[in-house]
Amino acid sequence: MDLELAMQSFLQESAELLEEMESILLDAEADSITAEQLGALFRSMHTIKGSAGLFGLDEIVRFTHQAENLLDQLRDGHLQLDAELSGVLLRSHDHVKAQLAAVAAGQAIPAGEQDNILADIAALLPPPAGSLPPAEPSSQAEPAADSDWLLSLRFGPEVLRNGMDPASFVRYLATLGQIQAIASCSSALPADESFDAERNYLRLEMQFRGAVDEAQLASVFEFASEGSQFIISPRAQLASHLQQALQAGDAAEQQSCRDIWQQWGLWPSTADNAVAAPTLVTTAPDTRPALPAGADHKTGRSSESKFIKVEAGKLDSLINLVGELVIAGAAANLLARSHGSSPLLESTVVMAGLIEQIRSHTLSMRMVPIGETFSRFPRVVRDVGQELGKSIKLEISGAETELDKSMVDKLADPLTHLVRNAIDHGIEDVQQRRAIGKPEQGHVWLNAYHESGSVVIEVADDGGGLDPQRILAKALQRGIISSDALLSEQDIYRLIFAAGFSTAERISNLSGRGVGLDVVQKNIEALRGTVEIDSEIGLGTTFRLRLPLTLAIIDGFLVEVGSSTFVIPLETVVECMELPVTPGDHGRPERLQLRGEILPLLYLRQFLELEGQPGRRQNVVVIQTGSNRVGLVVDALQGEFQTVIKPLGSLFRHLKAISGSTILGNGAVALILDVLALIQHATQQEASRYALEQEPYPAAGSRQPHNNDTSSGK
Amino acid sequence: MPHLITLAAEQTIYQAQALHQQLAAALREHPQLEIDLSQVEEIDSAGAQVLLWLHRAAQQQSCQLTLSHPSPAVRDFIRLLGLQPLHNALEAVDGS
Repeated sequence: MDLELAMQSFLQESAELLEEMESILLDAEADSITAEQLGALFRSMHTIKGSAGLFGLDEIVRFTHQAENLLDQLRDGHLQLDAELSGVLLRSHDHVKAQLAAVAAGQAIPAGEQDNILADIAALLPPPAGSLPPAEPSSQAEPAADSDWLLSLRFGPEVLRNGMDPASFVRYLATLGQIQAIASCSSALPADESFDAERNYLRLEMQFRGAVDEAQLASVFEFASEGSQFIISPRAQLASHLQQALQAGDAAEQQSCRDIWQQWGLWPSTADNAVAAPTLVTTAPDTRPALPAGADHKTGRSSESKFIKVEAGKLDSLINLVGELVIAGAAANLLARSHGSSPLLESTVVMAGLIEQIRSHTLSMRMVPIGETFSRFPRVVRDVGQELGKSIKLEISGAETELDKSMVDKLADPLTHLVRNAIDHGIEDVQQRRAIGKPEQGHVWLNAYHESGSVVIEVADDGGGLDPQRILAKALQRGIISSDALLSEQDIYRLIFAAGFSTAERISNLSGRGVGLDVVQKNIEALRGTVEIDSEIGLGTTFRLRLPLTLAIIDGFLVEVGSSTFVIPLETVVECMELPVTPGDHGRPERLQLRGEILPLLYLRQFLELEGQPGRRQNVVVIQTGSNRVGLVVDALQGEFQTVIKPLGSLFRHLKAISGSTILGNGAVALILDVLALIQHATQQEASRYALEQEPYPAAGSRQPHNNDTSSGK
Repeated sequence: MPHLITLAAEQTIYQAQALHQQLAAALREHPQLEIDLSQVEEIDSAGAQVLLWLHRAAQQQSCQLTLSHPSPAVRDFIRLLGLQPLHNALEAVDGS
């Protein structure tokens, strides 16, 4: 797990939430604040609290919990937003902002006016009923001046398997100060077949200098897995540190650590045992230190140059420009061709190749593997599981699935909600699981893959599944549906996305406050995605998020209708064929029989109301999503083409059948068809037709024109 | 001629087990091994541990092991964690 990355995204997310909170507070007049705004206020504190908990930022958790309580009262109408309350909330906002800034700068969280604000909040809150006791006075020290530290880090054997890398901790430490010397002790690493590649054998010894205090250093390692042991002492306590550090582990480990400290000249040369003395003599005088003095600067620089933070907007405009460049290049190529100058032609071809490379590189800059987001979940699962007393195993697959960076960022929140939800509501208590013969350890799966031009992310659990009866009862009680509503199972599952719906009976720190699933759906819809639920009582629930690949490169299949060109995502194309001619139906059968199966047809020309007359021969492109197949009737097939999806402007957002546009090599614009929507439309149309008429269908198996006039109305 | 194995770009926990098996097999079959590290773009503790293991196992089985052409990523990582045995093994090659 890359701590820095996770931390960065937390800080960024929180900053956005705080910004939203501030603007709502500043905009809203006392009596005109909407329920949605109140919800957003509450959510901002709630989310920051949750994420801060993951990073062990207890001070922030404690403070935001109080602020959240206040907002909860406000949301429920027990309090009115007046100038005083608004002031307290703004001060809370400022305080959280200051806390986060301190975290970002790697300083101690300032005590500031936390106590004053907490006192004010407490005064506004009705007497607490079972809520957390007010925060104790903060005892954080002022940021210390540079000081020297000795660290002995014995990472547990399971850290690697738990998705953490000791190197990440070292890199993070390097941001807090200066690593003056570091050495790995690998004496525990076996040389024979018993070596386990996923077990950690490394122990790190380190000298560190930085403006930090002991609590801060300790908190860096706070969420390394169990079985780890960290000994951290100020340089001044060298003797006791070495004593402690050298006591840990077996004899070989002690010896190799002693060697390290001797090399650094910190272990007294008056060696108290005979074994150490000769090594000291032979190695001490001219061995280079484990880490050359300048090396930490180098590592610092190299990690700096590895990533450059770029404003997403700049990247977007770069991609747009490259798109224009592709077109201009193609035009230059055409011109060169018409002039017949072969040197000119040659140079435009070289340029076209380069432009193509630039384009693919630029596009790949926006694509990141979803693993970055997934990597925060082992921690979430462990913490939530521990808090609820459940043993949970998280299994992640498809972490390498790539999708647009902007989407990855926006997915973190809904995914966290879903995972927490799965553990809190999905997976049963240990006793319950034992009683019904399930393994005590619950499973949560996170799975991502590409399918039919979209990205699918699944969050699954092997818990109790959704109980339609219970959901229905709850929805009735909350007034979300009326008592005479007739709902299918899917519709009932969908109710859990309704705002304010929660089946949790008790309020935990995590869920049950009615925040969550409605936000999940809103977030996913904002990404033009869908949420599906599969559930089986007693077996578990799967939430399936289906997201479009905005801005991704897809392999497209070009088809022509009249003078327009359209792109169909290639993954959805099953096969192509010529449309059999049936004279009696003016060449327009409504469906085909394809190898014994009925294939509804959708005439793109008519469906999109394009002008012009179809040619004598038309083609059918069979497309499929899930188990539904539809034949699209088009004029001509142009073949495959790698397509850059450009999202449509906001004016066209509501269009159902078009998911985006692309620019072809010759500069023409082609629209990308939204296959899912087309198939839905065609199957619905077919279903309604099927209800009206029941007739035999012309077979498409043979390319022969049909003589029998079966499909005309009788 | 030592048997040459060129490591792929990514050497992290995801590849560590497979790499270990591959190297263990190579170690059994060849008395001389050369590991080309020039293609490695990403390495983590798990990947580095496999190299440490190889280094140690080769010594034990008196196999002649050469770690050659370390990429910047490998060098940086060795420096980051202060992996002295690997550092020395690479220095030995550089010096010759």
